[in-house]
Amino acid sequence: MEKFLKISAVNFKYNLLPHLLVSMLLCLAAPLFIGTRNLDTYQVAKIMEAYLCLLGIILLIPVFIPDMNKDIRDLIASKRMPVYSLHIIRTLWALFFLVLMSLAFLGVLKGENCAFDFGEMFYTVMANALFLGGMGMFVFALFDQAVFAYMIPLVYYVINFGGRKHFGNFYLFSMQVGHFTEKHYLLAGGLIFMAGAVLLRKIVTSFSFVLS
Amino acid sequence: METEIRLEGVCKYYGKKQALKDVTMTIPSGMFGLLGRNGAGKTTLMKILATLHRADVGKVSVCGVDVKNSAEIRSMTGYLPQDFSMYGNMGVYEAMDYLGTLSGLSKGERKKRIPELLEKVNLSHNYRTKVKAMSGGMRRRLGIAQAILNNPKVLIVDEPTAGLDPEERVRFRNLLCEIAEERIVILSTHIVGDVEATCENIAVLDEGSLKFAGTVEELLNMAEGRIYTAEVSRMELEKIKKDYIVTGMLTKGSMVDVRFVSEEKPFEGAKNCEPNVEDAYLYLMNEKGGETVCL
Amino acid sequence: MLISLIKKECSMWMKSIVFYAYVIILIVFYVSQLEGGELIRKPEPGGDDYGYIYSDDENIIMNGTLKDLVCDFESERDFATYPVGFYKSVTLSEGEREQLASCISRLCKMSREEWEQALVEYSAGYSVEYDELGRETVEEKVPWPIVVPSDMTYEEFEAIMEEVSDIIGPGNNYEKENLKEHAEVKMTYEQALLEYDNILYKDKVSGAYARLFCDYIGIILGLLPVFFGTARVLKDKRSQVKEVVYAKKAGTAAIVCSRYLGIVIMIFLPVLLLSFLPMSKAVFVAKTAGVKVDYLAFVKYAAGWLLPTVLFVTAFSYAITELTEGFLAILAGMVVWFTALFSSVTLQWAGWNLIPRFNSLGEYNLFLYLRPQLVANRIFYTVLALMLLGLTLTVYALKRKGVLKNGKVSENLGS
Repeated sequence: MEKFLKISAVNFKYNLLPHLLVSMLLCLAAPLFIGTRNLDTYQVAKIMEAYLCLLGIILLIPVFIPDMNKDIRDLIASKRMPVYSLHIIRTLWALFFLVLMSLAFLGVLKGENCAFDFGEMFYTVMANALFLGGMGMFVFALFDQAVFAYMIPLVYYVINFGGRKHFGNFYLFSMQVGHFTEKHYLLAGGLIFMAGAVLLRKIVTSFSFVLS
Repeated sequence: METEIRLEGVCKYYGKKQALKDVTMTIPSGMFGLLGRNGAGKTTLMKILATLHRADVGKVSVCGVDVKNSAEIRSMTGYLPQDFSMYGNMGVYEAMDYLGTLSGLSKGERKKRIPELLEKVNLSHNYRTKVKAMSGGMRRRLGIAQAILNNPKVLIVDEPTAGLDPEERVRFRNLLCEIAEERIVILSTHIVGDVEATCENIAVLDEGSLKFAGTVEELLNMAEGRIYTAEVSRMELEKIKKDYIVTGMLTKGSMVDVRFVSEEKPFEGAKNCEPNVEDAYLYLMNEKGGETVCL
Repeated sequence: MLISLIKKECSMWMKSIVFYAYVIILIVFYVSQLEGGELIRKPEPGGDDYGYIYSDDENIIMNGTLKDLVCDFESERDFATYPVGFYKSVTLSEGEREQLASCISRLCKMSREEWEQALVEYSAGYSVEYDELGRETVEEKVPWPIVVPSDMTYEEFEAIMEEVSDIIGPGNNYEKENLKEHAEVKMTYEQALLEYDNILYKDKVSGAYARLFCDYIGIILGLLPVFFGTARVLKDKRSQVKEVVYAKKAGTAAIVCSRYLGIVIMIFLPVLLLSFLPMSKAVFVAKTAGVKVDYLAFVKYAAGWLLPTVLFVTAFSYAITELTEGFLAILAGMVVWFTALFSSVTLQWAGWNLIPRFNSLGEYNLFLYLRPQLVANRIFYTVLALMLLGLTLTVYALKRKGVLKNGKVSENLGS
């Protein structure tokens, strides 16, 4: 428990904090250009799918940033605690804040008299956020290139605006037209990406083998 | 044409902390060693010479050119930072070519000089080796090669031998000596052996102040007659460690050969001996207190 | 030295995964959005649908706007606004509704009671019927009664509309730039034919295709250069080569500009190569119609339209990353892109938007109408890019002298 707290505190102070601030800014800035009052379910879905889900990218990708430097990575790998537990702790914290902020955001929308199913919308934003963030983590783990890790999910997000025809069940903006099924695929995809990323990172670290 | 570096009353602050305190000295041509503990201000001083930092107070000139004139200084200095690295996926030749271009060498000059220099640093078989695949020693050699690409009048090398194996270290020192034949080479180190083997002139920095500037000979002279050796038991050793500055010891069974500093003959059985640079350095750092010794 | 450094930068990008990802994204985007699109055809007489056109007739604009405003007002729903593209509903207070009603009264020179009464009469005689195919037939027994009197000048009208716009708030449909949208009329055969002739002889076919190309490609060029600027700066940090480069003879301008131009070239070159695809389509259409094609149209349009976007976005991310040495530029770039894309009022619009839109093939006259704002817009972003480049130069020079460090507070003490 003490170890867990220590790692969490260090992660919070040296890694998560700036990204957390950006996330909060994203949430707080929302009313400046998004209507938050009296929205119907499709309008709320648009905010979840096209705006709030970006929190996933902001919060999840930094999980691997602290040990981007190979020397630091080797150093950490040499310690008794396995690297993946470190990554899992960081991921959990990212998820914690993601959940917290999404709940708060949805809570505010409810308070502003928006009509939507709370659980459904929460699931929607989680599915999108985890899919995009997980994709970034996976790319990061595979290529060890942070900029590239941001690029791929963001581009995926951007080209989704072009319409659903190329994306099948992994279309991000389905709830805006009332389709919920995609969310299960996205959530599952996101979880697989994240697990794959942590696993891949473990392999990369233990063999000091980097594809780039 | 002047071939010396002059510092006059140089001060440098990082926030409230003063990294250099009123440093005045002259660095002549040849190998010049900058000694001091970690954090003594060596890197700061070298960065000022390489125009990467600015002195807050004081005047610095390199071969008659004020360091404020950074463009001119950069064209006549070569700099090898403490942890030299290059883009990982670049090959050796490519890295040299890139840095050569940044040094303002024409294509023809690069084509001529790069193979020469890689030959000199023994990397001529590694043109395509990627930087990320190089060992520490190889990387350091690449570093020195890139630093002398523009045939600089002044070469500034920060901690060049740290982390090298003994063989590599000797080779590296010799390489620097060779290079120093026609220019000023300033090397900083906390390894006294490096200086002893190569430098004629040295300076010692301590917490930002200049403690000593002069020749190796002069440093040795200061400690002359103050270094003793004695064969003592382990019990006695503890006492000696408390009373004197111990500069070396060698365990021989139950006895210890100890080497230490003392102003006068400390006890029967202690023999006066010739100081080496390490003795003199330790003597300077511990005995002389805050006093600056410029000979 | 600059040329040789630029070459080195380009060859560095040739080894970068970011560059290849960019090329692939560019191609995929092009194929999915533009490939197989419409071909330009000569309109046949006697057709019933040649598309719509926004009328330039001030009378039509004024009356169309007034009609839409009255309908919006009377439907008692909130007003829709799009400050940055996202829907934001605005509910007016009773006082504001009062003000708005008085604006309407001034527009039609009728009292509120009068025009409300007229509206009731109109609604009574209005019916919509649907046939089995879902086609609607609108029957109006009474013609639309609330019109702008003939002595109203367009300037007066604009002044009142400005008040209306102020009452509703930013991003509404009654802003000055959007007024024309209320004047949509059906195109006649003659207008359609004129449109077609313009494409053939004024646009030389390729111009029309080039605009559509710029419209689409501009969307991704508003974002992708962000990754290049950030990646380039962070590459130096990660490889720990900053100090080695700082100490070299090369001037700050040469280093920064070579990196900047290297990125711009590596982004712009694939765009030019890609433009051969729609170019070939234009050549085919021109050959079929027997007219001469302008082979340089794509180069001209791309350089004038897309290059400023690339210049700006690259400079933006380069400057921010040089200043912060983190990933902030990516997020900031995302925000800029988002705002730019979704604040475009219509799909044929430049304004001061980073991503000017012109989402139609042809419409030469509309383009001529928009061209001055497009030119001003592009100059604006080029100037902005140069200013950001200047900022980057300053930051780099200060870092090189050791005055500024990483944009971070921590200061490593030298040993």
